[in-house]
Amino acid sequence: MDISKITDTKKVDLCKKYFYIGACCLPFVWLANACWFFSEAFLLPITTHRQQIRRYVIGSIVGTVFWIIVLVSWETFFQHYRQQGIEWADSLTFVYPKGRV
Amino acid sequence: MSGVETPLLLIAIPDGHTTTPAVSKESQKVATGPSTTGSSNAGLEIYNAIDAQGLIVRELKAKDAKSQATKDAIAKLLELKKQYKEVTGTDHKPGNPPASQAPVAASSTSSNSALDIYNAIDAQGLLVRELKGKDAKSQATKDAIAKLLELKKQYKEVTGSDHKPGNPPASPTPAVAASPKSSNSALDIYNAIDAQGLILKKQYKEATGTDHKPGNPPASQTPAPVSSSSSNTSPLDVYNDIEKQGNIVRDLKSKDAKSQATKDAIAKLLELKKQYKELTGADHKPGNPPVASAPPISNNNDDLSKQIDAQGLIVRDLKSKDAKSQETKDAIAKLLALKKQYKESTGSDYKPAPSPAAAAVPSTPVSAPTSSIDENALLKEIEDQGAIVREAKSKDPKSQESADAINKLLALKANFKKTYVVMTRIAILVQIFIFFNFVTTINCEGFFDEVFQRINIQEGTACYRLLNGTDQFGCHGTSKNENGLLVEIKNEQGIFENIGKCFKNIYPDYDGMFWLLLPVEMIKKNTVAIIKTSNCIAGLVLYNEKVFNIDDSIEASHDSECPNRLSDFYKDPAKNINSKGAILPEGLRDIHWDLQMVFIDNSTEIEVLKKCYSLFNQPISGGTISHPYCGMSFKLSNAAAGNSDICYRRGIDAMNSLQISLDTNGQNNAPCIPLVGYNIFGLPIGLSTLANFSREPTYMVLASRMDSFGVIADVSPGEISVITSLIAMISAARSIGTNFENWSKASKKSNKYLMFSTFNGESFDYIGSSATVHLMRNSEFPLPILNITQLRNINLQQIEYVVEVQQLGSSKNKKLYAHVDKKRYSNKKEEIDGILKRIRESLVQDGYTINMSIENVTPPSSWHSFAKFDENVQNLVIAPFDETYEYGRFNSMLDKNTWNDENKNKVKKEIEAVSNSILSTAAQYVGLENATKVDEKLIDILFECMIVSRNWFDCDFFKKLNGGRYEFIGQTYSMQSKSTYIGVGGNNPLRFILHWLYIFALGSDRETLNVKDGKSCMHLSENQAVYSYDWQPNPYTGNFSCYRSSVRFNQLQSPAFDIEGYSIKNNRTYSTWTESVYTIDSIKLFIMEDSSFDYIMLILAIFVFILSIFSITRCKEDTFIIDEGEQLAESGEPL
Repeated sequence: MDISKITDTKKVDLCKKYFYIGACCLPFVWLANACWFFSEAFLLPITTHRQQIRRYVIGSIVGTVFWIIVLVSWETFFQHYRQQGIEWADSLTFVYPKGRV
Repeated sequence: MSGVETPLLLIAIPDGHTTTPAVSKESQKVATGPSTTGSSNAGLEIYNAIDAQGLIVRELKAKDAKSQATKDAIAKLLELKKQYKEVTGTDHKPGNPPASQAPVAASSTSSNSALDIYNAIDAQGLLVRELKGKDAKSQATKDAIAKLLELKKQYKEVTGSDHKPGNPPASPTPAVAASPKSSNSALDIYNAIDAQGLILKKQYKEATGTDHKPGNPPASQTPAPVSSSSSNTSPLDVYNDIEKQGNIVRDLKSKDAKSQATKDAIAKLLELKKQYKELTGADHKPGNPPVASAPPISNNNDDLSKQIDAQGLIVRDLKSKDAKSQETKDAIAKLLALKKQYKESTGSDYKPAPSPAAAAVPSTPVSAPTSSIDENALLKEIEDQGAIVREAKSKDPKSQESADAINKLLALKANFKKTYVVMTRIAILVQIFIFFNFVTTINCEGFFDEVFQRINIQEGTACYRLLNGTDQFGCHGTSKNENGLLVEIKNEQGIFENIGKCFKNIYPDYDGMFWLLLPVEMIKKNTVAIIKTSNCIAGLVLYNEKVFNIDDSIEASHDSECPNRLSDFYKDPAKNINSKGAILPEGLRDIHWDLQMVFIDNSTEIEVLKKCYSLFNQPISGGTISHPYCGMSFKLSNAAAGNSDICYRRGIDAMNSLQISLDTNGQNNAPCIPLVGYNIFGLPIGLSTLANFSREPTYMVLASRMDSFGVIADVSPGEISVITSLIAMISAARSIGTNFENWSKASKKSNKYLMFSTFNGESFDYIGSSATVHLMRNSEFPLPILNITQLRNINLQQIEYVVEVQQLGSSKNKKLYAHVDKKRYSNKKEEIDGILKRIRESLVQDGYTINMSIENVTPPSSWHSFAKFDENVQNLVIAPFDETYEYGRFNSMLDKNTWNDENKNKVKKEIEAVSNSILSTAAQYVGLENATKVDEKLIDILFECMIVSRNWFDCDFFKKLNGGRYEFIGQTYSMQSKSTYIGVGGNNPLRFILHWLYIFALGSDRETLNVKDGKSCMHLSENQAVYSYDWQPNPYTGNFSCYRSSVRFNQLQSPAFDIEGYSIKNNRTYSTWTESVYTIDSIKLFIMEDSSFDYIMLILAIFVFILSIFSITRCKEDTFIIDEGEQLAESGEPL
């Protein structure tokens, strides 16, 4: 969807909507929101609308980074520690493998 | 150029559309026209203009009331009405032409002539017809009709006769008629033009047979104009025409190859070409203009025949549209007239040349090849050709033309069938193939027996995973060690030479793993290292080749050099007591094997395996052998991994979490299960709470173990490890039981009691004894304290001695040893000395020597569990070994012996002697002067039943003892054969046998003679816990009676799994052994071929496939085609 063709208020609405949707534990929605509205927010001259969009985009970026950290760290712990059979690492998994640790 | 006004005659050919915007514009112009003329005619003119405009408005409104054209027309009308009002001074009323003007108009009209009126009538008549045709009841129609009648009246006045159509009055000159016409009104002219147009249109329709369409000059007329022009042209002209027409055709084709225009143009081109040929006598060749030759022979007949042709086309068209219309009839009449003409001129009947219909035929074959693959195109062609055939037949069913057309149709149909039926047949073949594949993959059993030879493996005869707190041991089946080439190892040389090289010298072109078929005894000290470290062994198939003699000094203990090292009481058990027999220092059980192991008991199955090897895998006289090979597949998969801690914890988690309710309906599906077994405790004198006991009674535990293991844990006959000691204990118990009064009197007097305990799981870090100690420490032994029991529980402090006998039958030279713990010896020196003295006396009587071994480190025994928690309990182990085991097959799969009389006697004697020494020990402890002696016969019977017989219930004694109460029909190894492994399921019948034997030994039925059935016997057991009453048969007679005894059994598992918060991983106090849940597959034997075999089979399969396709397509059409009446069609039947 080409956002250059819709009005400013609609852009702000869209950005806001995507931001709130991403807040439901949907990091990729935040990522999409950040990428989509990045040029709109930062690369064009600033207006009141763009100010709002900028806020939401920054929020989306922060959220995405947070999720990246959480997921990467979980994955590292999972891959490295879980196969050692450590007790706390077992709480990372839902299904235990059969025949191997 | 005189100044005479001459009329300007304008002929406008209307384009035939019925919208009136143009008309309105024109009528606008016309309407404005009249307003500029003289006022004398203005009113009438305006009136007429208003009428016309009104009609236009009505039409437009009917079409679309809101269009711009309608609005313009309405505006114009209103303007006209205004004008009219100005001019005449009255409103416009329909049907009321202005009177004042009328005479002028009328006189002007009457002064003109009757011809004028006549023409006006004609025009008006046409108008009326038109309007009627549109809508017979509209206001416009009525107006027009009114006007017509008016005109007719006028005409009658003027000429004196009625108006008759087709009879114009003679007098008026066209010029006179024309001039007032010009001044009359442009509208009249317009109407006249309209009328004229209609007349011309009708003529056109009659002439061509089609409606006049603007922009579509009639093509079918071209033969006529061409023919008319061709009679005057030269071949060169025709040639040029052909060129031009060719270009036109190319243009039209590129635009749309199938339109009517294209077809007409193509027809015209072909006509030209024919003409050219007639003229020049040669075919038209592009780029070869004709030499100017003789003038064309204009054949009148040619002309005529062309006309006939053209007319014929017209007739066909009309007929196809409507065979009964007037037009058709006219056209047919014209055609017949032409034909008559032709006949008159030439004298012969007219015969149609190849018609445009035929000309149309060549066009279709041109298009056919390009779309022969497309099914729709083929079908369409067939349809077209069918239409052509129908046409040709309708003209003349027997003509050459029809025959050609029919042949063409049949050819097309055949072509279609060929391509399409073959493809559908291939599709059917493929579907059948897929279906059979599908069916056979669902029902594998159909092919299974042809591919595999299956050998079923019982549960328990394959090596599986055992886990303890820190490690996993045993075997696990993976994809790597599942399949292998079966190799039989007959002697050690086979192992030494070949395994290192992975049998490359025998099987050079095989790269995979191997299954070794070897007897159990070939796992020895010198071979096991090679087997363990090889990376090309998938597994071992073990069988019992030779059963040893008790005198054979075979070293095949599967236990470690220091059994139960981790749970030993001594922190540093220095002695490696099993070093002589152990195959590996850590034992064979405590190893994480990479390979699998299967044990096969059945000799026929072993024969099958050996035969498979000898047929395919045995090299001829030590050389090499190539494919095909006999391969074997077996897999045992364990669910547990890591160690007991991990898997038990995960099992508990799974029990608490969602997984359980989803999968298993609330049952524990932990991947590993702690080892658990029945322990039997027999008290000769029942416990009771008697207030007159001022001191606590003390106990001497007469312990024995009832379990052992092998590298495959379930396969553990345990003859010397377990059973001989059990026989000794039971015999002693029986002796006490039969002399109950003496023993009980002495016990009660000394307040020292005996307890026979048979512990289970002792070889796995003292499961049974440690659980017992745990219960004792919690005051829950033998039962938890409940209100109904009058039981005096036994505490750990009450245990003074743990006496055990081990490995009876393996003594060398009748030498026995008594092991006593040195540290605790000093506490009770005299007592122990007294006991030892008594033992010696007893044994010497039986011809055995005994050596007292008071040592710092006593051998592994159940005492270790007691010693860990109590400082006073003393150990006494009577065994035929001193510092190392004499018996080389302690805890082994090979703990099984052949018996001849000599061996039997020897062992029986030993059992008897030791059993007597147990009685002496006990007698000394409780203070009985004369110890009783064991029943030799009982030992004989028990020996036969428990050691010599192949299965537990083969002998009569046990059969009677069972009395039909239990039927052991399980399919596990422990149910089918003698096994002493503790297990997890309580499947082992041994515990029943021991329980019954103790009841038989220690119980009596004298007190319950009045009890006549099992139910009342059970009833006696309730509400008290001192005695247990069992309805049991006498093993000698088989008669049931109610035995009262103080024998109980407890199912005990290691306290490690019972204590809250016990760290299974770190705490070594208790046993942490668990057994993994596993699934077992059966052995499958199959033939291994080399890879070229696969390719050959693939090529063969493709070849067969192609062959089958050809065999089907070679079938004739008649086998598959249903007769659709083509034979009849060919012979001329109408379709």
